[in-house]
Amino acid sequence: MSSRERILNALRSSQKISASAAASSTSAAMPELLSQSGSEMQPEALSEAVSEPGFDTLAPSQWRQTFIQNLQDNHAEVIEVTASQLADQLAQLLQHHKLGRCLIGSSDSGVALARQLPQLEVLERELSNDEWFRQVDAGVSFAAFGLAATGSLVLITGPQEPRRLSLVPPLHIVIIQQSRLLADFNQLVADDEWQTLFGRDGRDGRDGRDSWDDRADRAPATNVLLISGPSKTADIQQTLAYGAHGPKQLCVLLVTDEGGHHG
Amino acid sequence: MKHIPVQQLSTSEMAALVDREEHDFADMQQRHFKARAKMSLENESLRASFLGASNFLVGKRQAMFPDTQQLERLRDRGEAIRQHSLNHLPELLERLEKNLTANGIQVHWAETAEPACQLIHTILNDNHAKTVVKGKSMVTEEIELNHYLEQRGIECLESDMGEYLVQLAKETPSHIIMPAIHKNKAQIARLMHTRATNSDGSDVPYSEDVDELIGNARAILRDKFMTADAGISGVNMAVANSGTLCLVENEGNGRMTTTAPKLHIAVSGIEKVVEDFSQVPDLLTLLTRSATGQKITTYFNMISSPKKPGEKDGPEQVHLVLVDNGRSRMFSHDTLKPTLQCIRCGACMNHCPVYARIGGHAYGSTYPGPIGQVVTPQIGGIEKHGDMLSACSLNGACGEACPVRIPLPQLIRELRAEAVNPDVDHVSADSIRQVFNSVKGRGAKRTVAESLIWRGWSLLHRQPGLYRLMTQLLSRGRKLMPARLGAWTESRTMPQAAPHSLHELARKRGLASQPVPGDNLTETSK
Amino acid sequence: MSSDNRDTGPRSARHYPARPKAVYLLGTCLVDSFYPQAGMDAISLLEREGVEVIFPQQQTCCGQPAYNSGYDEQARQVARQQLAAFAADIPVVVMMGSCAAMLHHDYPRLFAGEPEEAQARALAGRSYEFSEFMVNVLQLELTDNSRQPLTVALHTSCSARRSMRVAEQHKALLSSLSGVQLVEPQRATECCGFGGTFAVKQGDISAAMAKDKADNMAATGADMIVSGDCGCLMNIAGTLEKQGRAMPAKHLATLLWERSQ
Repeated sequence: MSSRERILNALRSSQKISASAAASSTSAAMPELLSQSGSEMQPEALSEAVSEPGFDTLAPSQWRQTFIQNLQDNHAEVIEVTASQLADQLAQLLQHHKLGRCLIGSSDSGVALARQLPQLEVLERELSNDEWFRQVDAGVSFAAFGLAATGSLVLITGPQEPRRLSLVPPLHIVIIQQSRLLADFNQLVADDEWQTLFGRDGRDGRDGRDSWDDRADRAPATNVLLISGPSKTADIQQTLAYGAHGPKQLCVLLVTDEGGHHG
Repeated sequence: MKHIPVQQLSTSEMAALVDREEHDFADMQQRHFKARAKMSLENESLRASFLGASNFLVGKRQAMFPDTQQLERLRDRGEAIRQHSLNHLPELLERLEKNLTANGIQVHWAETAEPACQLIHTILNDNHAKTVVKGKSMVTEEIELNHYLEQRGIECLESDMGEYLVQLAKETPSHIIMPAIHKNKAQIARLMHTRATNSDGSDVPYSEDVDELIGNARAILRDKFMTADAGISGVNMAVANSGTLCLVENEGNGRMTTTAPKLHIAVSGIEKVVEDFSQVPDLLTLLTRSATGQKITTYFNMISSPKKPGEKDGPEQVHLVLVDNGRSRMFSHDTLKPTLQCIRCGACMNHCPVYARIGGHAYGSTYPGPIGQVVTPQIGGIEKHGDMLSACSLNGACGEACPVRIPLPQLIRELRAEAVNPDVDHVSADSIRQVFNSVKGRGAKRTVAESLIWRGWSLLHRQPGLYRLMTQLLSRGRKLMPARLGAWTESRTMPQAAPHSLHELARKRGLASQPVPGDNLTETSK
Repeated sequence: MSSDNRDTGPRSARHYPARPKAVYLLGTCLVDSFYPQAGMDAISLLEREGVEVIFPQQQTCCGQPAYNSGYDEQARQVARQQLAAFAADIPVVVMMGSCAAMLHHDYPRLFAGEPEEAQARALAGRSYEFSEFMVNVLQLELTDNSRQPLTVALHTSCSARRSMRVAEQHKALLSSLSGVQLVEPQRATECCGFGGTFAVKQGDISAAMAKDKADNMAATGADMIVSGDCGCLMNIAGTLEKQGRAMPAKHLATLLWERSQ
C-alpha cells in the first residue's frame, strides 16, 4: 500500500466511524444553545458569499472611486486617461521615470501601443533571467479585470505577457479599462470569463455532473494574479517598506471612456 | 549596565552581540518550557518587541472589521467553508490530485516528516538541483526541510524577508506570519552588517534605516532568484475543482520562487484543500484581514500548471507534496478535528496575552501561541510537547479572534484531558474508536501526585458534609494560614477566608435548602 | 446549522424566561469561603425584588478546577453532586462568571454520553450569571441611596465577557447607580492572569499578567475595584496589596446592595 493509499484510507475510516457513531448516538438533538464543532454544514449555508467588510453592496457608479482609493492607499499611482490620451500619458511616464529598457506584451493592444511609442519593446522572444533582472527597467501589462473593493488588478499571464513582466522590473505599469471593473473577488469568480479561465471549475458539481471529466482539452490558465499594489514588507519592526522583491513601484493607467468619467 | 550607543560598536563587537543572540536562542531551545518562558519574561527588549507587535496587529485587525455583524457572518462562512472541506476531505484530495495531474502538476503524498523530506530531496536530485530558494512555508519548517537538505549538500536560502533574517541569525521563526517579530531594528541592522554578504562579496554596510535594510536584502536575494536551480513554496489554498495552487504574499518572493527557477516544488498539509473558487474570496479576505489587517495582500498568486508551450517563462516542472504528519490522526478525533480548520493567519497568537509576554520561541515548536499549543502535541506527541498546555488561562481571546471559529480554548482543555487520561491501555468494546479518538502520548503527563490531589479534592467536594467541615476549618483557622504559599504569594498577598461561610450565613438567614414539594415554584410570579 | 459556541464569539442571543417566583442561588466555592457577603447581598437584592431564594446546603463546587486541569472523571464526580443539589426546575443564579460558564456551556460536554446527560443539559439551560439574571430576567432598576460619590473601576472576567457575554450587563447595573462613576482601565479586555490553576502552574506568566492588570487598575485612580468574579478580585487586589498600593475590591452584588439600601 502506498503512502497515498494509507493516508486516504485513514481519512475514510475516520469518516465511517464518525458517521456510525453519530447514527447510534444517544444524545438528543442539540438544544440551540449548545455547540457541535465538526458538524456537517448544509450546502445552503455554504452558497451565500459575504461581501467585503465595510464594503457592503457597492453601486457600479462607486466602483471607480473605490478602486482608485484602494490602490492609492496601497502606495500605487493611479492616472486616469481617456483612450486617446493613453499613448501620450504613457510616453510622459516613461520620460518622467527616465527609463531605459521597457517591455510590453505582444497582445494586439501591446503591439499597437508600441507602434506609437518606439521606446516600448514588444516581448517577442524568451528573455533570460539575466536580461530580466539586470536590464529591464519597466514592464507594461494589460489587466483583464479590476476589483474595486480591494483595488486589485487581475492579470492573466501567458505567451503574450510572461510572468516576469509584472514581477521583475522595478517599475510595473498596468493599463486597465474602466469598463472591466467589477465589485470584488466574489463577483469575479462568479463571472463566465473566470469559469472559462479555470476550465474545470465545477460550481455545478453537486448536480451530479462530474464537470472535471467533461473538460475537453481546456487546461486552466497557467498563472493568474491579483495585484493590489507595489511589493512591500513590514517584517522589520512592523515598519512598512516598499520594493521587497517585486516591483517597487506600481503605476496604473485607468482608461475611461471618451467623453468624460463615468460616475 | 552603562548603555553603549550602538553606532559606536565596531563590526567585531557587533558580531559578538549577534553570536550571543544565536547562542542564547540555542541554549533556550535546550531547556524545558517553564524555563524558556521565564527567560523570555525576564528579557525586557524581547517583551517590548512582542508587546509592541501584538498591539499593532490587534489594532490592524480591528480596523478591518468595522461592522460586527458582518464580521460574525464572515466568520460563520469561514467556518462553514473549512468544515465543508473537512467533511469531504478524502474526495476533495482525490479530485485535487486528479485535476492537478491533468494540468501537468505532479502530486506526491508523504505520511510523516522524514518521507516528505526524502521525496523532496529525490525530486531535487533527479533534476540536479543544488541551490534552492524558498518561499515562506510553515509546513517546511514543521518537517525541518532546510536542515535535511543542507545536511545533504543542497543550499536552501529563505527569501521571505523575515525568514531570511531568521535564517541569518540561525534561529527559527517566532511567529507564523512575521518570523522576525522578536527582533528590533538595531538587532536586524547588526545581523545584516555582520552576517549578510552582497553577491559581489562586499560587506553590507551598517544601517538602521528600514528602506536601506530592505533594499540591501532585495539586492542579495534577487541574485539568488536568478540563479537558483529550484524554488520551494508553501500553499495557502488548493482548489480541487480546477487543480490550482493559491499563494498569498506581499513581498513578491513567493512569485519569484514559483516563477524564476526551472523547478517548483510546492508543499502543503493535507487540510488546505477547498472545493472550488466560489469559496476562495471569503476565505482570502478573512485570512488577510486577520493576519496583517489588510483588505488583500499585494499578490494573490494562482498556479495551475507548469510552463506551457509558447509561454516565455515559468517552471518546466511543478510538484505538489501533500503532507500528513499527524493530520489524519487529528481528523479522526471527534473533539480535536477542528484543529484542521486553521488557515494559519496568526490572529490567535496576536490576541493571546501569554504569547505577548513570552514570545514565540518559548514554545519551542514550529507553531507558537494557541494554535501551536493545539497542533504541536498532536503532531509531536504529548510526552515531548505537553508542558505548553498549562500556559493558558483559558481567557478565550484566541477563539474570539479566530476567523474560522476554531474553539481553541476548548481544544486546549481537551488536550489537557488527553495528557492526564488514565485510560492509556484500556481497551473497551468500542476499541477502534479508542485508537482513533486519541492523541499520541495520551496520559503521558499524568502524575501520581496530581491525580491524588484531584482525587482528594473530589472526595472533599462531592460529600457536602465533608465540604462544610473543610470550609468551617478554613474559616475558623483563617488567621493561622501561612502568609506565604507557593507561587501565589510571590507576587500577591494571601487571601483570607471570611469568619463565616455563605453556607452558614444562608442557614442562619433561614433560607430553604430545597423547594417544598407542591409549592408550584416553577410558575412565574406576577 | 451552527449555533452558539462558548469559545468563538457572538451568535444567537440567549432567550430568557419570565420573572420566576423562586430561584436557586449557586454561591460558588470562592464566594462561600472568601466573599460570602457577596452571596448575602445577592440574596437581599433578589428578595427585595420579590423572588424567593433557595440555597441548597448540599452545593459545593461546580467542578471547574478539575475540569480545566483535564481531570474529567473527578470533575464529573463533583458535578454530579451539583446536579442533585439543583435538581428542581427553577432558575439557578450563579455568583461568578466562570462557574456560570462551567454550568451553562461545559456541563453538557462533561456529561455527553453519560446517564445524567439530559439532567445536565436541563441544568445548563436554566443557569444564569448573576448580572444577566438581574438585568435580563428581573429588569432590575436601582436607586442610588448613598450620598457619597464613588468612582469604580470595573473588571469583567474573561468568562463573563467571552463565555457568558455579560459585559454590557455589568456596565448597565453599575451605570444605573447615579452616584457611581464607572471607569474601565486600559486594556480592559485583557485577561488578569488568574486562570484558576494557571496562576499556580505557570506562576511567572500569571504574575506578569497580574502586574500589568494591577498597573492599569491603579492608573484609573478609582476608589474601588468591582468584578463579578472573585478569582480575579483576589488576583488583582492581592497583587496591588503586595505592591503596597491596595485598593478596595468588591463583588458587583455587594456594591449594588450597599448603594441601593
